[in-house]
Amino acid sequence: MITAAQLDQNLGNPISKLCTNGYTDPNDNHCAHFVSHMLDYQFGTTCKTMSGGPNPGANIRVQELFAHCNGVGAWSARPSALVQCLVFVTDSGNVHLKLRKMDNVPKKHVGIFLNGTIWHYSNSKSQVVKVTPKEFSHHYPGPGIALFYGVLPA
Amino acid sequence: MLGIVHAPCLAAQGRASSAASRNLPSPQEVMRLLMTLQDVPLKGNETCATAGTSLSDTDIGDYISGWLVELKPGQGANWIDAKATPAAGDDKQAGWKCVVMFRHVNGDDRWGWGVSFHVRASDHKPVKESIRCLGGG
Repeated sequence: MITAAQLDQNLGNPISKLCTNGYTDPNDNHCAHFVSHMLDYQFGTTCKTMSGGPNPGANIRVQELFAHCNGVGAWSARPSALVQCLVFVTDSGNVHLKLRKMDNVPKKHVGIFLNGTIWHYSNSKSQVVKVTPKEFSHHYPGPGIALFYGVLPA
Repeated sequence: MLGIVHAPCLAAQGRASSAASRNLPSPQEVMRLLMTLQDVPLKGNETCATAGTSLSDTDIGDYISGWLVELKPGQGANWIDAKATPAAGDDKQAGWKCVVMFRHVNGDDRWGWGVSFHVRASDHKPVKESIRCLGGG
């Protein structure tokens, strides 16, 4: 379990301070990359896969994180006891809950939810930030945009 | 003895390497080479299996088409990076590493997806087995 204090230590950091494999192009999207370095998710496609760096890689793809969760659902259906989980934001049409799959569309984003706060990587600010779930739900404009929870992958 | 064997090899590698630098594919040629790889399946490729924009995507043609149509007008900046750099392939033969990336930036809607593949200098053919799907987020 990661703590709020550990996450707070990374506030304001660019991805270059988190990734020692050199996968740090600011034109790339680093939301899943940030989450995976924080929670040590080394499965699937990683920063090491992309850059060939010397250190253990962290997953870089939102749809792969979603598929590895130990349970997913609409945010409104999140069990109250689930105080730490992944939180995804995308158009609900991109999410296939029964299959536990998410389309690899451009507008999808992920963060770490812990006791009411969400830490995520702002690609426009190129740094780690923290927001409320309500703020996170407005990450993308549009009527179909919704939040989804994911029980942390083992 | 080894030195005698290696010297000509090194010389040959040097010639191949400089030839690779001289004949570097242009961005247009890189795109043309990519089009010849459209039938390569996504399934079974570690980096491509989950990279299609639709769950029904089956090959590189589907994958590339899916990202091309996301380069929409009037919503931030879109561009395509296509380049080649001299590099040896997995078989150590001289050639080029080609990279094509489709990119978009509009505030937090920021992404880059594409492919890399190796092209042999000897016949200017792309190596199907070398294709990788690039991108994250």
